[in-house]
Amino acid sequence: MPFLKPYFLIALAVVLVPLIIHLLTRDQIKKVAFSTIRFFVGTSKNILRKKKIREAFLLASRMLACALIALAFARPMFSKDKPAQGGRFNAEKARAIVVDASASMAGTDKSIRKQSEDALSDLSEGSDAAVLIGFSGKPSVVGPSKDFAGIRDAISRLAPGNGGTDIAEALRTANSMLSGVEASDKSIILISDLQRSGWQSFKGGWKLAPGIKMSIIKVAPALRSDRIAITEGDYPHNIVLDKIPRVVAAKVANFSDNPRSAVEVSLSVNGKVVETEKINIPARQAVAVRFRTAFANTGDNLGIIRLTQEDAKQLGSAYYFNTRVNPTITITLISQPGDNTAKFIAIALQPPGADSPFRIRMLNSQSLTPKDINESGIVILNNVDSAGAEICSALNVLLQRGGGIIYLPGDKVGAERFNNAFAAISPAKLSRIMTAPATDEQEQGLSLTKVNGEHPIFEIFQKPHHGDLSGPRFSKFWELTDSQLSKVSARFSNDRPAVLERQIGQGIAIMMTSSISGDWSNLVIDKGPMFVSIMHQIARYIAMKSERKSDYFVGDELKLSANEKISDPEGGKITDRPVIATQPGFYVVETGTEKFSCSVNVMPGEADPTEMKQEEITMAVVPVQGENLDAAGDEVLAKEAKERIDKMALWRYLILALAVLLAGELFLGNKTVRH
Amino acid sequence: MSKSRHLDFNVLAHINNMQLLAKVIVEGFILGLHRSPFRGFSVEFAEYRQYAPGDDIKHIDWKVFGKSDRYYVKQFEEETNLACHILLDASASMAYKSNPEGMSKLEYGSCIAACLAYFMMRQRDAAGLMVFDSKIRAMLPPRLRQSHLTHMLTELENIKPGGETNVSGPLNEIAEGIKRRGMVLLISDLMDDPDKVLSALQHFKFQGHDILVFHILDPAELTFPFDTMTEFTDMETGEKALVSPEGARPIYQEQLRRFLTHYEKGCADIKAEYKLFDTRKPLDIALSEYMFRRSKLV
Repeated sequence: MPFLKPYFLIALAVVLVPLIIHLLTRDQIKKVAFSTIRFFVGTSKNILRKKKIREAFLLASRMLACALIALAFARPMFSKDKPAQGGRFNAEKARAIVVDASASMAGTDKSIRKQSEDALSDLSEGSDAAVLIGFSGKPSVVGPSKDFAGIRDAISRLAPGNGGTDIAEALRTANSMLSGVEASDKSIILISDLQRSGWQSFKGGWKLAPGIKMSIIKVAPALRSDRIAITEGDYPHNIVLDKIPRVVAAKVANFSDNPRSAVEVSLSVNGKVVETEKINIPARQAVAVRFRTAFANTGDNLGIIRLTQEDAKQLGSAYYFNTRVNPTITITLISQPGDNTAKFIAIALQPPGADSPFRIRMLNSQSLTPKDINESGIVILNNVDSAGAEICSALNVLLQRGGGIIYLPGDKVGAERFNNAFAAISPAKLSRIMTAPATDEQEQGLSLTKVNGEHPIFEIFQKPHHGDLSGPRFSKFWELTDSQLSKVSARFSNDRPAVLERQIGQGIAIMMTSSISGDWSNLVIDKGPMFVSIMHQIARYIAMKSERKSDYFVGDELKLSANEKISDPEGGKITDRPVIATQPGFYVVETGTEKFSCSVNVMPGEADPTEMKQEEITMAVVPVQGENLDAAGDEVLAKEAKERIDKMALWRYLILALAVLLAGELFLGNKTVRH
Repeated sequence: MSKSRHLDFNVLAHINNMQLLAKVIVEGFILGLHRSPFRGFSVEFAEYRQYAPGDDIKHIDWKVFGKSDRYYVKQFEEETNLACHILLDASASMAYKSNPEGMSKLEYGSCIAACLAYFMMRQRDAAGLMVFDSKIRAMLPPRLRQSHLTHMLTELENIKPGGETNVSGPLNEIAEGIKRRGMVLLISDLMDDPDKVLSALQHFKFQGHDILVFHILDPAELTFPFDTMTEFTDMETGEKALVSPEGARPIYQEQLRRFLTHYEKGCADIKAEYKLFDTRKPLDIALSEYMFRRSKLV
């Protein structure tokens, strides 16, 4: 734990004061011959024992109080950083060497190492402190330390990677590091190609702490000034299997002062070049190129947009993407005989004549077989309250393998029968049918009020003109029990759950607590389009729930489960966790028998060789004399200040603990006899 | 301790002022103030009176008749010779004194015994002294001789604290030995089982004795003024107890209160007079207070 004023820790010695006082003033046992001890002989031992215990507590609390005072003065701080990174200490000089090791710095290995070594040369090892912050994507910190061996070792390994440039973030990190070091001379040396794109994250609002000087060493990159590069790509991330061509687009920029003509841009999918376009790009401009292709493979479709005339290794010459294709989902809609609501669900999910990703099979609950379940991806139990053991077992298997069940209980459902059959595989047990309370709202019925707009089912309704979720009215709904394991994504206006879900195995079970029947809600009759959307979203949510983020940039952390294996674009197994993407291409994640690819690209701005002037950075972050930093009032600054205050707020808790301790000591002290 | 200390004349002079009260209180305790219901051995001439018919002719003083030729009858007053048994506890606990310059309970009790003995002898009552701890250590039966007083005072002067208190045992033993009704004055700190002590006192009561109990305690025993951690050693048993006085004081005082209440109530039940003295009280005040209380009982 770092301390803002560690020298106050010397005051911890005062914990001995109560001990010394205790020893000096402890009871001197007097010996007295007394006429009789008959009146206290039985009680003296208990009293003495209690007294000793209380005195021990008192002594401990007084010592602890002294320790708390010393600790509070030392101003400890919350810190998740390792001491090596967040450690605060005194030094004569403190220097942060900030080295740009982004993709744009390719070919500058020797230069940045030499400049970094030179930056260390005027520091005295042992009395001065240094910290090395290399950034290729996120900043990587070595130090601060007075021992330069580790820093020199890190410098010797410095080499530009494939990550992006974020000079502002690196400088902020350096500023934070140096502000914790007590030194008379604090400085930052920035070694970079000063790529303009690397400064785009700077939003203002913060400056270097007073006393920190900054100097900039510009390193000339090896980038060709006449280069072109793909700076952006657009492609369908997840689609349902069909034969419809989808648009894949890329933006190609010409960074030179001369126009480029007949630039070949090709699209390859799954290793095959499917289309090539030739484009002309005016000087200092970018042109979009579009391809149309159908993705036929279910699962991963690995695509590369490439500038075929450029060196494949050149920055921005290729753009990688993965379009995931989901097969057509088979939905088994099970209803009780005579139920007339099933057809609405079927039409909603598979509109006649329209191209739907769902294939609906309508079955009678009495003629259902386990085979029907096994062939389904999603099962809808519409107004069904019972099923045989084999069916229930098949439904459980469906969930375990990643399928889904949608429960739509209505007035033909008996709570007890439902609970007996489906309690283990449903989000909740049914209790009883409730009607809307007799208020003014009664005629209108209940509405959906507390809806989780970030949930995939409902996020579509957050967009303008995509339906008003408060429109549908519900006059009846099922009251639930045992729903603790489920997540409620929508509630009625009386706060009762309307839509809830529960993860079971790899699959998911969703329940709508109000039926689509006309005497339960107007969802189908008056709000048909919304009903269609909700049913589609629920089915898509279940079908796509396994979809995961598949596009990253170099420097990002790839999100993996504990048991997943991953290999880099060159096929090398990565065992370290967390996994940071270090090169563009396809990283392959293995989950049991399945494979899943993540596309990783270089930050688009890295290909842009446009530079900025040193003065721009200096003016942006170095405070002029007399500038009132507090007056900056910027949100970022305020946030940073708050974080810093929060980190240092531990002393308040120590004082609070001290107050409680002293109150306890006062109470115990009053109850404890001195002799 | 000198003899004069026991015979504190100032004290006795003060008590002389209280003689009028004493006459009213104790039958025969102060000789000559009123007729005693008790018959004594000695008969003293009081006055002459002319013979009247019906008088016993054996009381006619023939010598006076020979001189005056008139019949005079001799009148006599009967004296009371009260036997007072002073029982003094000389157990080890009686040696306790909280103030080194002050008197121990035993010294204080001895003073009371000496004063009363002297006072009784002046009133021509027979005073006896029994000194005991766990057993009887000295026994001087009541006598009405000046030499007996000297003997008693010498015994009191030479008294030394003994072993454990066992009030009840010696009391029963003494009660068995006293045949003649009289007064029993017990001077003790009564550090014994109250029930046993009261039972022994009842033994005296059955024999018709008038009982007075002078309960002697040191001020420190009453207030428990200790303020530092103290290891107390029982003066009688040698048992030790390490005590935090602040914590033990309430318990001690409650136990002591019950102890004293037990004696006070027990004595009242057997119609014995109980009086608690602490050794700070001047002897004259102690005795005067006692006499005042005694007068109320009459």
